[in-house]
Amino acid sequence: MTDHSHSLALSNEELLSVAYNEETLSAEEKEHLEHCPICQQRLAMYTRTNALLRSKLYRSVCPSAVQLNYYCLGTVPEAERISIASHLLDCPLCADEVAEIRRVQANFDPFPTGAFSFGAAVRRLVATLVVQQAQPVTRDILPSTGWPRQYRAEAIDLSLHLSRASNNETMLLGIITSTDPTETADAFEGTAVDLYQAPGPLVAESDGDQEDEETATPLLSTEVDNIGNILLEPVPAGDYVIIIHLPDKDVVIKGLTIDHG
Amino acid sequence: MGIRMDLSFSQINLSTLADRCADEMKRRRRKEDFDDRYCLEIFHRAILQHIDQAWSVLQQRFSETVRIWLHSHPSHDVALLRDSEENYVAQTFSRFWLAVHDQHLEFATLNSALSYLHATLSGILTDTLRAHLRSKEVPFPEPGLAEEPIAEEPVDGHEIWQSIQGLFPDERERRLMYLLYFCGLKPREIVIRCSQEFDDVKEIYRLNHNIIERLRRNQHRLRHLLGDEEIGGLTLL
Repeated sequence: MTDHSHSLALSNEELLSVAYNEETLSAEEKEHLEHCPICQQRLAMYTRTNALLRSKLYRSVCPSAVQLNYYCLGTVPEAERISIASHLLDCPLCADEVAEIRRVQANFDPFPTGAFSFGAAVRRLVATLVVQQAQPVTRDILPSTGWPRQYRAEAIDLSLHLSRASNNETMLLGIITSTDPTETADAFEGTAVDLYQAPGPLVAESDGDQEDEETATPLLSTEVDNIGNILLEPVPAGDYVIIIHLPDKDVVIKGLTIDHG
Repeated sequence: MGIRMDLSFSQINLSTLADRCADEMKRRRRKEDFDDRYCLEIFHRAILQHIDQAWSVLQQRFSETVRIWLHSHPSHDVALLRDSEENYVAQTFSRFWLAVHDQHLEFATLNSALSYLHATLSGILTDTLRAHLRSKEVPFPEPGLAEEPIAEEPVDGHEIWQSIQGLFPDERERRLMYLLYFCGLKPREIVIRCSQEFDDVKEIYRLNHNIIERLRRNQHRLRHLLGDEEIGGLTLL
């Protein structure tokens, strides 16, 4: 595999750097790679081999994260404790996980204030991020990572997009639809939508019993139009929560980080 | 983790215990003085006395708490792409049950019991993320083969690692094999994270090539270790 004699043929090391997407090839070398079937074949071999070995071996000798959590609580038997401690000396990933676990456990609060209500009088559903769609960046679409996004809560689908107005302010655009065939696009018309700075309206609540709800004022409010569109503007950079107030439930969209960079 | 139980609590019926536990948890959330013995008695009956109804009450009382923890986890979005909220909550109680029985654990405070429950959930979520990262490494089949890539199940890494080590008399190659494939680190990540061991990325590429050549020379053995059928139509190396 290494007897490729073309003067610009890439070395094994260079091909490995390409296989890892870490290459610093010159323009000539890149052009050679684009046109040389032998180098491409060698590169494919490295890429395939690396992927195969990683897919088979990745974290395969690591203790499970559950065991690492128990280890940090000091509740594993002595033999396992010694085994894990020894593994931590070799494995930088588990060492990092243990450091993070210890940090979380040191700050653990079983009943954190700032948790969302799941048992409020109006049923509150936290929407699940379904997919972050790939989309080419155009002039007016902000190049923030992770946008647009698709969320789902039961039969409700919500697409969220970021865009920029002519005055350079950021707009958050949404399209709400339902997979329920009995609900038409105008079913959501007039539905109130609130954008809160995270963590938003908080309820110190658990186990189904509602407690005192802290009032929070939305940063922006709007209504769904007759074809399911939602427009919130201007949205400064920050972390946000959206609540869509449907007649029988509130749909909560968490983890919205808007970065104008 | 010792145990602290009052005889009088053992005489309270389960329904009353559940109500008092809920009341005390409300006080706890309001940062008021609270008595965790009602909740602890439920744990005691469920775990030590194996009373099924107590286990049901325990799950009922704390499912919502687990659900809130789940949604507070920084990676809950990714985790919920792979499984449902209900399954994570159910898994948490199931693993918790197995662990406390296996380790014969008793909890002296409600906080220690909930810490353990929270640790179980956190571990399950992290394990899910590990599986997610592993699945992203699934190789595509060779050109001309119609097979779709299939997510790999983890193999018995300890057995493979023991066997593979014998192929690498050079300690640095052996260490690099571990960091590249068992930890999934890229060469430049290794230089950053393990700079005491490797400070030259070119050396890593060179050793990586040597590793692949060694594996290639021992392809038959490696196929046996990784499992012929699992490798399928993919030509290794």
